[in-house]
Amino acid sequence: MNPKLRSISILLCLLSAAWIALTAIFIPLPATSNTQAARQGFLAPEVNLPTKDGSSLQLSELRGQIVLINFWASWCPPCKAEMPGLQSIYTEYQDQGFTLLAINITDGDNLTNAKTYVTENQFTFPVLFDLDGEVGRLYNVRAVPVSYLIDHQGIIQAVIVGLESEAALRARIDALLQERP
Amino acid sequence: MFPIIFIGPLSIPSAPLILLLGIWLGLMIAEKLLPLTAQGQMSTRQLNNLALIAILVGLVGARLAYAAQNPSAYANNLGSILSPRPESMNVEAGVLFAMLAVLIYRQKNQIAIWPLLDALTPLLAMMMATIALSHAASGDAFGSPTGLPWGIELWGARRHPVQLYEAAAALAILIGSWLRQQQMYAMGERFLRFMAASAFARVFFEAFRGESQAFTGNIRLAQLAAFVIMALSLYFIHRRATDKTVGDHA
Repeated sequence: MNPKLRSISILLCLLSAAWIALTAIFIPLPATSNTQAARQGFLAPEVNLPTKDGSSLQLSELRGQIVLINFWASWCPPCKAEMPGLQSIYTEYQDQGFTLLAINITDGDNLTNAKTYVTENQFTFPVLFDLDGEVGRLYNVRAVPVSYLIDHQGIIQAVIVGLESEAALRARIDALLQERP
Repeated sequence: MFPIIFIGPLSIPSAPLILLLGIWLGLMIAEKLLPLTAQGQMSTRQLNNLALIAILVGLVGARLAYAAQNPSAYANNLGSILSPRPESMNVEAGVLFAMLAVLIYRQKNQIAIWPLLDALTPLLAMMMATIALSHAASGDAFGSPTGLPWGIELWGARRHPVQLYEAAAALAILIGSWLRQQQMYAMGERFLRFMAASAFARVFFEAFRGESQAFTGNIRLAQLAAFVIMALSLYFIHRRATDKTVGDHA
C-alpha cells in the first residue's frame, strides 16, 4: 500500500471514530413515539368521526386499549371478505381491552350503500364514516382494506395492507394484550 | 414523498419502479466497464446471467421467506404467494438468497471472486443510489427532526432529507469510480474502495437518521457496523496491494 493511501486510511478511521463519539455525545437518538404519523412506531393520528347513529367517537378516548383501525369500502370485495373475521375477533376480545374501529372511506364510497351493508350484516363493532376523507388523508389510505394496529399507549405497532388472515391478526392482538400493564 | 405513480389508469408503487430502473442502469454501466473491472476474467454474458439469476432468486427467496414467517396468512390461499404486492417480501432473506445464487453461479462457472466483485461494483454503486431514492419515494429510512431550511415535512416533523444525502453520496462514489475507470488496481481493490467509501458515508449520515437502533447507550449500531466494514475494507486493500502471492482463482 503506498504511503499516501495508508495515511488516508488512518485518517478515515480516526475521523469516523471521532464522528461516532461526537454523535453519541451531542446527537441523541430521536424518538418517534411522541410524534403523530400514520406509520409503525409513531403515535396514531387522532380520529374523531361520526358513527352510524350520529354520535361521535374519538381515538384518544380509547387510550389504554388495543385498537384496530380498519379502513374499508362497500365496493371492496376483500374488505367485505375480512369483515366476518373481524366481527369474530371483536366479539372474542372486546372484554379483554381490545376494540375495533371500522372506518368507511365515505368520500370514495356511497354513504347509503355503506350504511345498508353495515345494517344488513349487523356488525356490533363501531363503524365510523370518514365523510370528507380527512382521516383517510391523515392515515395515507391509498388502497383498501388497510388496518392499523395500535397498542395501549397509542403507538402504531403494525400497518396491515390488504387482507390478513384471522389467525395472524389474533396472534398480533394476543401479543399486544400481553404487554398491557 | 411519492409512494405511488399514477400513469393513466395504472397506479404503480414508485419504490420498486425506481429499484428496477437502478438495476437496469447499473447493469449498463457494469457492462461498459467490464473489460477494465474484470480484466478479462468474466464475460458480458456471464455478468448478465449472474444479475438475472440473482434478481430472480432474490425475489423468490424474499417472498418464500415472508410466507414462511406468516404461514397462517397463506395456508388457506397458497395462490397469494404469487401476489405482485411488493410489501409482502422479506428483504433481508431476499438479499441472502441472491448472494447464495451468486456464489453458486461463480462456483459453477469458475469465476474468480475478486474479478467478480470488481465487475459487480458499478451495479452495487448504482443500487445504493437507487435504494436511497426509493426510500425517499416511500418515506422509509427517514431523517431526524431539524430546523434547517432544506428540511422536508415528513411523518409529522421537519426532517433531514437523509435519503437524498445518501443518494448524493452514492452517486458521487459512482461518478468517482467512473472517472477513475482507467486506473489500474489490484484485483478486488475497486470493490474494496467502493465498500470503504460507502461505509464511511454511512458512518456520517447515520447521525441524521430518524430511526437509528442503539448498540448501547446513545451509540448507533449502524455506525459501528459501518466502521467495522470500512476498517476491514481498508485492511484488505492493504493486504491485496502487499501480498503478491495471493492468487485470484476460485
